[in-house]
Amino acid sequence: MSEERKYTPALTMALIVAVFPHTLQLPLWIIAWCIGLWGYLLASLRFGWPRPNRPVRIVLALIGIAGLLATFSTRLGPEAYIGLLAVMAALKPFESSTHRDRMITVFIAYFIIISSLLQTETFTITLYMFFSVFVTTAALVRINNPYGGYRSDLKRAGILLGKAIPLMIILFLLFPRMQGSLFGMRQAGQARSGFSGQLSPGSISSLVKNDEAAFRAEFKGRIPPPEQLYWRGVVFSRLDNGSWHRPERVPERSEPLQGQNPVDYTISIEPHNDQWIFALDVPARAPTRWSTFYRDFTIQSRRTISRKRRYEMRSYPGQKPGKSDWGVDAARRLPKEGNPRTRELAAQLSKGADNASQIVDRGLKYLGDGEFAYTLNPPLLGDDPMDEFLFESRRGYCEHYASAFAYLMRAAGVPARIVGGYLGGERNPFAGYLVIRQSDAHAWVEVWYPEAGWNRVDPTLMVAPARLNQGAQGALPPGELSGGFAGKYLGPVQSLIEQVQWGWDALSLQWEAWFHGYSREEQQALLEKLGIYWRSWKGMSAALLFGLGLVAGITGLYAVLQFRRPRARKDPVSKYYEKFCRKLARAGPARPAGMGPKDYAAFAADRRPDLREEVKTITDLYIRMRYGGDTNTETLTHFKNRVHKFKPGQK
Amino acid sequence: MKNTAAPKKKPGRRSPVSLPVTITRHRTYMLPTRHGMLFFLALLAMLVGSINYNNNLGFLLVFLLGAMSLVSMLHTHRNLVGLRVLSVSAKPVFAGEAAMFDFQIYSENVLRPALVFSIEKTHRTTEDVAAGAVTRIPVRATTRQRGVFSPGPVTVHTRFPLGLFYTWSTLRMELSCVVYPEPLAGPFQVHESTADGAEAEGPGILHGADDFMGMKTYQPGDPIRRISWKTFSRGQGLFTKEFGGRGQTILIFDYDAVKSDDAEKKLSRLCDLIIKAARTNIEYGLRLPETFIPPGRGEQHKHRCLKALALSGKGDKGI
Repeated sequence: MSEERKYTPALTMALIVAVFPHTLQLPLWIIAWCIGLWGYLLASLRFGWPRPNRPVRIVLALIGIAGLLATFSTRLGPEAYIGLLAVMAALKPFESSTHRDRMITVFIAYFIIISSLLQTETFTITLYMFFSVFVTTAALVRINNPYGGYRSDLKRAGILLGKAIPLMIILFLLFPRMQGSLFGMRQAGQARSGFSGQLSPGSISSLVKNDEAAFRAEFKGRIPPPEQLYWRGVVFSRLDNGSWHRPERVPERSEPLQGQNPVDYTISIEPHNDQWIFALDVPARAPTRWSTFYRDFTIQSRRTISRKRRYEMRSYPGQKPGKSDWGVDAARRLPKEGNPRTRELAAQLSKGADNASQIVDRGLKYLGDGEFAYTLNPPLLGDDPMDEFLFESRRGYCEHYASAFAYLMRAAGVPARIVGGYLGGERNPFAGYLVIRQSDAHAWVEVWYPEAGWNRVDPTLMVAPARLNQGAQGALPPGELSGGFAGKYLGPVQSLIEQVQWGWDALSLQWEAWFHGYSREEQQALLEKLGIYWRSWKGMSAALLFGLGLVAGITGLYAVLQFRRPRARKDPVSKYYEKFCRKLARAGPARPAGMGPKDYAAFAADRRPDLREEVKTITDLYIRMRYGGDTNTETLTHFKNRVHKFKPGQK
Repeated sequence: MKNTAAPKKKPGRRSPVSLPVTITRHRTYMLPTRHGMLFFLALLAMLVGSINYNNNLGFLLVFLLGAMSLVSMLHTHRNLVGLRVLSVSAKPVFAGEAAMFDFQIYSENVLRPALVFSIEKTHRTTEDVAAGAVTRIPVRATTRQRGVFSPGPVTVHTRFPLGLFYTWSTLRMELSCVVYPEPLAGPFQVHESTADGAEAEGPGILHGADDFMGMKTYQPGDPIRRISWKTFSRGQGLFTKEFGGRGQTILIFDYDAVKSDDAEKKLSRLCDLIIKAARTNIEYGLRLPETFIPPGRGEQHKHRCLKALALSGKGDKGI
């Protein structure tokens, strides 16, 4: 019982800390399961409630597994694995009567920590990992230190962690990295975020409330003006059943785009579990070997982006894609029937027009004049959605405008397609990069002119010009994206919180840029600075040996340092006795080497009979504490005072 | 790893150490524990996973845990090396009982948590040894037969701080504990023997005597049992005790008077009698084939008698 009381809370704490980062991904019942079991366990330790015996534990485990099967039966991915770990972690501390059980519990906690790293790789989770390892290690120290207290266990864990960090850094930098993977990457079973391969009403407006970063862009030079901050992602040109799709086969563009006034920047993209690569319109080329540049000027990664990536980009933001005529045919196609009033409007627009750009201008003018409203809450549209939108509801978000405008243009004979991506971005006041959030998602239209090629047109701006400068929040009518209570009443606090958030964001980007970027190439560069050339096996083993040598050296240093005698801490008794001896020596009789305190007192009294009483009192006190086992603090205080007041004076 | 400089002798072959002894690095050995092995296996799996997913954060954690276990190895080693065993003592016990060897352990400067001392694998004493103070550590060993019990070497081990490594030192030292015979219960009867000390009858292993009256100079022919050995040993000459009347009894437990074929049983019986006699206020003495302990009283006397029983027939160990 007392053993359990000593160990179980520490073990439970370690598990709670380890599971905590998973809470967002875990099904609600598992969270409740964990809280319930741990809560009961801790309460039972406190109040002496009965603990489930082995059969009950087995039944509980079976219930947990049944729940897991019910929840994850069809998708045995990482989530199911983490669910299993959490379910077992909730039960495990009930079974900690032997040392072996407790050790296994700690190992489970370490396993949960590493599985949280496989999910996310943010700066925050990195820092949290150290915290989590610290707590778990303290629990590990505790179960191996039966008489220790929490303080000494935490201290020991801290010392171990602190000493391990230099070794960790060396190993991290010098452990040989490979290109590619050993057994192939896991197939991410996680939800996609951001864009999908099709555009239908609601597919972008659903993102508006999502404040998460989609990617961050650090510009080498100045940030382009807002009207150029169109981040190109997907081109939708196939209209099918009221929604727009990416064409099935887009050929690869072999040569980079040439142009003037290039802008160079680096994008750190958040994992979205799809293949889109976003770049400022118009990108010049594919950024890396692992991506492809297509003839509709979009870029896709060859692999699903399931973790943070960084890539260097070049774009020509002031420029039109130019005279590429790929995709023009597809951009003319319309269903044979439907939306009669829109077709009628298109006929009016094209009547008497000199060229395509005049039709486009007339179309935009129609949207600008027609009392359209920019809103997140449009009514549902029926069988002829374009007609209903353009002539009846006249309320919608950017996908409604882009979609209706592209339809209108096609009906009027102007090739048009929709481009999905992001518009704008928020500048970090500390670090000067742009954060592009999911809420910045946008859709616009590209029309094709025979003489000039593809041309960007943003119909949304006719309705909500503020969208360009102030983002969706500024352009939407007040109240639709409510800042809520916090925004209204916590003004100064909110701005402080925002400042902290920006600072943290900047720090994270710095860290992640370096940390996640540290791969084979960076390692090679580092080693070349150290004079180790990587490319051969010789170089590789030299680097490894170098790293291991450093680790061995530091470990050796630790070993030597820990055997160095710590400066002997004098106990107060000796300290004050020595002080007394010094005082006495100054006054005359110095203590001959090797003379014991009693003899010295007699010796001193012979030479200074006037001090006899005082010397005897102090010496007696000293002997009482040193040899007589008197550990009373009052005696010590008395002794100190006596020594303090002892003023022999010269004779 | 730390033992490369150690002499090539096996630990078992080493001659016993004399106290006080310091556990040096040459006397210590280290291996990962079973849990340590499991931990490293798990770490290896994590490393392979990190390589596979090219996950830098995974690498970071694996290297952090790896480095931590490496540092913990140093701590484990440090926890044992430098420990001083100052002295060992053991109070006598009866055969079959556990002997407790009290080790006086000293650690200079550092607190050494969770040191495990053992003579037998089944009985371990786990104790923290404080810095700069002498810690008393009782270690249990089971005795079987009377005599001087010298158990096998004492092992000090520790797994602190993480339980991943196990470091130990086996010290062969002269441990000894006097083991009294196991008391064999039986009747405690005093058969009044004739005053001249003629042979008692039956289970009368006891020589009763009447009140002590005084001393007279020894005369040849006086019963040898009445010689005052105390005064003789003081060098005051031979006296014979004179007894008269009834009252104060002096008992002499005599080996030869115990009726048993088995010498060990005889000793066990005597042991029982001594314990019982010691509970009363009777003066008693002990006669063994090789020794005679004159009558006396008190704890010290009792132990002297019991020790004589323990060592009877085992060669002179210097009572």
